[in-house]
Amino acid sequence: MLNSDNKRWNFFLFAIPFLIMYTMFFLVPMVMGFWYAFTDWDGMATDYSFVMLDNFIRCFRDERFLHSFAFTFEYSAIYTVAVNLISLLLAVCLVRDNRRNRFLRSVFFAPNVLNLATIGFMWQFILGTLNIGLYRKTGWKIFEISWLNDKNIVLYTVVLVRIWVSAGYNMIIYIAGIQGIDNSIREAAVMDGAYGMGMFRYITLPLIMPAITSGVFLSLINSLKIFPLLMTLTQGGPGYYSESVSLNIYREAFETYRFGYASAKAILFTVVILIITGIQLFFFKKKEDEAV
Amino acid sequence: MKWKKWALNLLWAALAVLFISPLAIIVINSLKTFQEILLQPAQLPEKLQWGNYVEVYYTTNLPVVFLNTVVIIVVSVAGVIVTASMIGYILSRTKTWLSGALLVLILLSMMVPFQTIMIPIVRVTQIFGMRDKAFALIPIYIGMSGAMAVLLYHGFVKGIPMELEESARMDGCCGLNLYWRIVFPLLKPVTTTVTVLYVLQFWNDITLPLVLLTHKDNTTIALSQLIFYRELVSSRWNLLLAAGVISSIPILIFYLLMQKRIMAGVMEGAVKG
Repeated sequence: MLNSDNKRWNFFLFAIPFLIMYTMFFLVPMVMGFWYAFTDWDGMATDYSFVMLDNFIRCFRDERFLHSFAFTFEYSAIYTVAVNLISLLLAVCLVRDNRRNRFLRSVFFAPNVLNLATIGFMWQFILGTLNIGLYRKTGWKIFEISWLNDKNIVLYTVVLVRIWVSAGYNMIIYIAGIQGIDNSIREAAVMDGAYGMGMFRYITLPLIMPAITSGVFLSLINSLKIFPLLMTLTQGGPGYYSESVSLNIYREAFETYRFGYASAKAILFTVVILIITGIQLFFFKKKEDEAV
Repeated sequence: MKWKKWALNLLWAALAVLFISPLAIIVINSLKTFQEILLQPAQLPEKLQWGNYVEVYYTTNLPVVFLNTVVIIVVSVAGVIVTASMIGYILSRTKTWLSGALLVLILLSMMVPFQTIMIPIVRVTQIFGMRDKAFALIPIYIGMSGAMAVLLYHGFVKGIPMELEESARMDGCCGLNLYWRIVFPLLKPVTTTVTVLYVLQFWNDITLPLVLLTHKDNTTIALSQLIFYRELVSSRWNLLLAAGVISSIPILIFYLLMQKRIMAGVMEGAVKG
């Protein structure tokens, strides 16, 4: 009844509205980004010239840019390990469905719905202005810590604030993972005498490995892209010590207006993200094969 | 055993209070004068300065900004639902090399960081004369962040048996008509997930408005936070904190009403995404 012409028309009809917007606002800009990366366009001049690989070569000599990579990697590594450990612990404690746990879960999840820029300046107030005020008043050593202006501390400050925001998010993923475990497996383990830590180590943990893999990669990729939080929490400071790759690229584009150079940086950053995503997909593929 | 349980509950209560205390500190300080904030950081306000909120309300053009944001979110989310569900459905039901290739192409946008398309997006909007128009955000949001919804719909349609559609086709129902009357209602669980996840995402997105909108009167709630910050930090902390609180209230209400759905959506999104 439905001839193939009709089918083709249908396919077209259903796919085209999204594809138009996807092409206009993702595909075309992405291709343009590649194009700009090989030019010296400053964002305003109508003409620009091709500089071939100059922008990319410059990236590797740009100390500030290299530092932003170092900061971002170190931050992401520490954050990813810490947030997943904490959220896994929370999930194990709060996995059972009762009123207390549901309440606690919604408390720990709450910061996730707030705007990161708002969270950034709220914490800047607490760890900066308020902290200094309290030190003046009390003279206590604990308020002497310069959370935001000490090069040796600021990275950990960002990690802490970000954990405060996201621990509840990963907790939810892990709770879903644990609740997804078939109850009969658990019961069988209890019959065999498993309980407490043993139960967790040998039954729960191996079975939620897929959830952990996705939780880890989710936080890793998100933390590599860290941006709005830093705009108000540290503004990349002190100096440009806590400047992330994203913040560095944004500033290169919209503060110094070197669009061509910023595009080259963005492409290098994309390559890094794609490599990590590739590793993630490889992991999942392996997991699926094992399952089969 | 009973006291142990109570001690544990008490411990959790303490942890929850500690966890939420930063927000309480912010609310308390938003009700002080700037003098008080600097000189009496640890005290409660002498007199509650509701005036901070009144001043923020008037000086920051909050009603317009709020309305802007709501309209942008409602239309964008509706747009994502309509376009992403349609393409997700047809890609799932069509088994050709083209549908497979299109899905992979669409998923690409979930991996590429925003910085890569940030500069060209500005150029594209200039070409179309959409720069500085708040409503230009709508098609851009649909295009650049609809991929996750496509993936969710695509996965869900796979699990729906074809019989219902086939019998409807027998009755002469086809094309868009069949889709909206028969298929779309079946997708409701995904539509709910997509709605809550995208409302949160669009409400809090700061990056796109940051590069597109330059006039502070014509902006979104999220971006307005950054603008207040740049204007007020270090000089008027009391106003800045009040602005932070007032702009967080709508999304917190949304969270309180929808928290079950939001958490279910996060679980769903993490499994698929």
